[in-house]
Amino acid sequence: MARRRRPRTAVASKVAATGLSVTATFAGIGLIAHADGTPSSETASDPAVTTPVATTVTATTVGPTTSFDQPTAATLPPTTIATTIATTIATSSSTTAPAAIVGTLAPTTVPGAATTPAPVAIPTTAAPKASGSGSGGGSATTAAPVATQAPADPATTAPIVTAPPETQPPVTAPPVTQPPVTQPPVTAPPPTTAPPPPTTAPPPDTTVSRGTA
Amino acid sequence: MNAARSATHVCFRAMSTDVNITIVGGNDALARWAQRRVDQLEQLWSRFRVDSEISRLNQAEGAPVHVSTETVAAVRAACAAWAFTGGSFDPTVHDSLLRLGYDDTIDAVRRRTGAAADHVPTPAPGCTGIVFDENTSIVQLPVGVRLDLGGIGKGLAADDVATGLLARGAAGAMVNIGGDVRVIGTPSASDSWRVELEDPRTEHVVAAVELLDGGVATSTTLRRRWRLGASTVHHLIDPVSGTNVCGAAAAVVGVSVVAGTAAWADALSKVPFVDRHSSSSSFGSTSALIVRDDGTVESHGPLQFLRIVPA
Repeated sequence: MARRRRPRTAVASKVAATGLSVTATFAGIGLIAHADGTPSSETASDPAVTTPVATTVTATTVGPTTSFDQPTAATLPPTTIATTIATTIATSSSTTAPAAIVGTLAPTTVPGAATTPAPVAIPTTAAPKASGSGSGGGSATTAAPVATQAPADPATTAPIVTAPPETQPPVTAPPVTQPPVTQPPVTAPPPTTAPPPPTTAPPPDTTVSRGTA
Repeated sequence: MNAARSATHVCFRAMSTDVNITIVGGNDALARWAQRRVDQLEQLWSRFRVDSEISRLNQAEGAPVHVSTETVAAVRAACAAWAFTGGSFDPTVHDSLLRLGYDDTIDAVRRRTGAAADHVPTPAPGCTGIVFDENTSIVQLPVGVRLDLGGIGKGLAADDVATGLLARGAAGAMVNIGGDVRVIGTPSASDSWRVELEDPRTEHVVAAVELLDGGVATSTTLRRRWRLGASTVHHLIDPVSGTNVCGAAAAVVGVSVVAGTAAWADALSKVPFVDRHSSSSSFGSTSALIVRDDGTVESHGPLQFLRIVPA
C-alpha cells in the first residue's frame, strides 16, 4: 500500500523554462519542490489543514526568460564638454607634470546635458601613476598630485589614515614639550606632525579606477 | 564651486585589495561603520573563507541554503548580470578558476612555487537553474554550480557602503574597492566627483569622468596574474572554454565601465574580454572605455570621457 502523503497547505506551481526546481513560500518556510511535485522537505509540524490557501510564489528560478533589472547610467554633472575642460587647463597654475586634454573620445554630448559651461573648475592636472606596490589595486587617492582648485578643507588633504581616525595621533599639533625646533636630529618630530608632501596629497573628490591587482 | 566641506578618509585592506573611502560630512563613527561593513560583506561572500555564505552555498550540493538578505541580493545581482550579458559575465566560473590554480587568496597563489598539475579547463555551467527567494532568503544552486562573486562582490560592496553612509547621515561618499568605485552625494570641494582611468599597460591615467552619482569599474588582464606551470595566467575567464581568453578578444587588456552602480560597472567590464563582438549595445545605457594591447582606445556609450595624455 502506497504511503499516504500528508496534505500540503501550499503547493509550488511555478516551473521556469528550465523546469529544474521551484520554491514556494509556505508560512514563512521555504519549501523546495521539484518539477514532478515531490517536495524535498516538509515541516513536521504541518497542521492538517484541508483547505488550500492562496499561494504566493516568491522564488525566482533563473532561466533563459527570467526577467531581471537592467543596468542604468551614471548621473552626470550639468556638462562635461571638452572646451570647458581645456579652458580650465589654460588657467591652471599647476606646477606638476602638465596634462593635455586633447578632446573627448566621444564627440556627442551627453543626452540631456545642459549646454552651458559648468560653473565649476575641474581639477586639470594629470595624475601620475601612484607610487607603491603593484600588488594593491585601487589605492587611488594617493595617486594624484595636489589639485589646483580652491583650497580644500584641511581634513580633505590630510594623509590617508590606515586605521580608524580616532586611533591616530594628532597630525597638526606637535607635543607642547617638544616643539620641532628644539628636537635634535635623531628625535625629530614624527612624520605625522609634518605637512604632507604635495605629491602625496590627493586632490579632493578624486580617485582612480584601475584593475584589481 | 561649493565651499569645501570636511571629509574623512579611511584606507585599509580587505577583499584581497586596497579599500579607499572618502566620507563627506561624516565622522569617525561612520568611518568605523564603513570598514566594519566591508569586512562583514567579505565574510559573507569570500569563497576563500570556509564559513562564508558563498562557501556554504558552494558546498551544499544542490540543497537549499538559508542565507542573509545581502547574499540573496548578491546572487540576484550576479544572475541579472549574467542574463544581461548573455553569459559573458558569469559568476559560476568558480571551478574554472580552481582548475586554473586560483584556489586560494591571490597572495597565497602567487607565493606558490610548485609545478602546476595538468590544466584541464572546466567550462562554467552558467546560472540556469539557480533559485533564489528574496522573501525567505533561500538560495539553491544546482548540483555542480558554484559561485565566485569576486569582482561583482567588490562592486556590490562599494554600492552598499556608499549608500549606507548616506543613509547614516553623510553628505557624500566615494568608495573605491580595488578599482570598483561608487560615488554618491555631495563632494567635499567640487561640484562633482572625478574618477580617473588608467591604461593598464602603462599605468598612466588616460581618461577621467565627472560624476554626481554612479559607479566605475576597471578590469584588466595585466594585473591579477600568477604562474601556472610554465605559463602566466590571469583571473578573467572565458565561461565557454573555462580558461583565459584567446583570439581576437585577447587583444583587450583593459576595460573601464561607467554605470549607475559599481556592481553593474564591474560586471559589464568583463564583457569585452570574452565577446570580441561587443559593441555599444553590450553596455546598455552605460559607457565603456576599452584599451587594447596595441594602445588603441575606444569608447562606447553616451558618456564623454575626458581624455588625458600623459606628459
